[in-house]
Amino acid sequence: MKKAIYKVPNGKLLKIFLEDSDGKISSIKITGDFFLYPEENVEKLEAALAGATLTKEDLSAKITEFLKNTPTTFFGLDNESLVTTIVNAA
Amino acid sequence: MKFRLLKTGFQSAATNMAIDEAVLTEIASGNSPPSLRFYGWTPPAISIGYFQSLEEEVDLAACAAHDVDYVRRITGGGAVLHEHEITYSIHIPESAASAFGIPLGILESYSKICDGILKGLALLGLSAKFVPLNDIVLEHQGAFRKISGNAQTRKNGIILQHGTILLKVDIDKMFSLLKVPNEKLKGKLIEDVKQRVTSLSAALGRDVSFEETLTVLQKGFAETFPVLNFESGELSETEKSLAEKLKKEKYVNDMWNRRR
Repeated sequence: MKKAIYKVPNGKLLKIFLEDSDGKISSIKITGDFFLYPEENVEKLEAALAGATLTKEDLSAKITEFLKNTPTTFFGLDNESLVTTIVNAA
Repeated sequence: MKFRLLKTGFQSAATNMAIDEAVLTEIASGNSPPSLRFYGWTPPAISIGYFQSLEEEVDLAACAAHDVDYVRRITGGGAVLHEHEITYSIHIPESAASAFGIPLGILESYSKICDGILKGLALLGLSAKFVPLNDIVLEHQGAFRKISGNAQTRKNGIILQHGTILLKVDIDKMFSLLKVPNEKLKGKLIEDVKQRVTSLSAALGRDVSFEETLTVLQKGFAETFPVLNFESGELSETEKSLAEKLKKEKYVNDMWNRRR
């Protein structure tokens, strides 16, 4: 498992665990001491990111689309930090 | 407006988390009243946030060697060592929140509920403040230091917020049980945390007991929520059996604790 740790500016600590293949996410775990509501949506977000191409653009677009379809509130976490950390892990 | 006051004493990590969830479920079903609970942990235990990876954060071998238990919470946030502390949990239906004077917004509700703790600490002569999202800090020896961490979830229309107030803290012990991102920087990290965390006994220069703290926190919540009529109560039979079930089926199990 590849891993990257990132301190979200004005936020919490984000730790990404990643398995990738051919430049795409095979599986991902989004962990850390942040808050996310409703909590189960973290698993839904991880599932939504499976197959995403490991570029800032594609990751950001996938997260934005997810948030549009599955209303989720982040505290101590944000789209940009997720993207940065996933790319760092890869 | 009736609000049940629960004192469930010192119980295991799994039991404590099971009780919080059982109470939430029964309030959501309309069978139990909104509640404020105070509790302690025996044996000492680490609770991790819902989103944390257990193996990443906790040195399980060190915990076993020190007889420290562990459990995953249903709330987010970080890893907490529950020893020499008091934990509260408050359960409020969202539908009743505004009648209780609690704003519905997540950040605002954290702040309002933490007011109860601030008022309690004021009764000990301490001037504390709330730092968003979820910390309470005290000024001690020239710096603001964290004395309480809190975490909130909303399930089935119920706001559950729980948190811990440190009576005493042993940062070295804490770090012997937790893993750190960079072992080489561990020493520096420990020194840094020692500056940024304090406890009631450090702040007051004397031993502060669980009971004394419970008393002031209870008064603090009563002052913060004057419309509420706090009445001492017990867990219902349904809550007790549901808690037992949740403990056995969820909170003692690797499937829950090691899910991430």
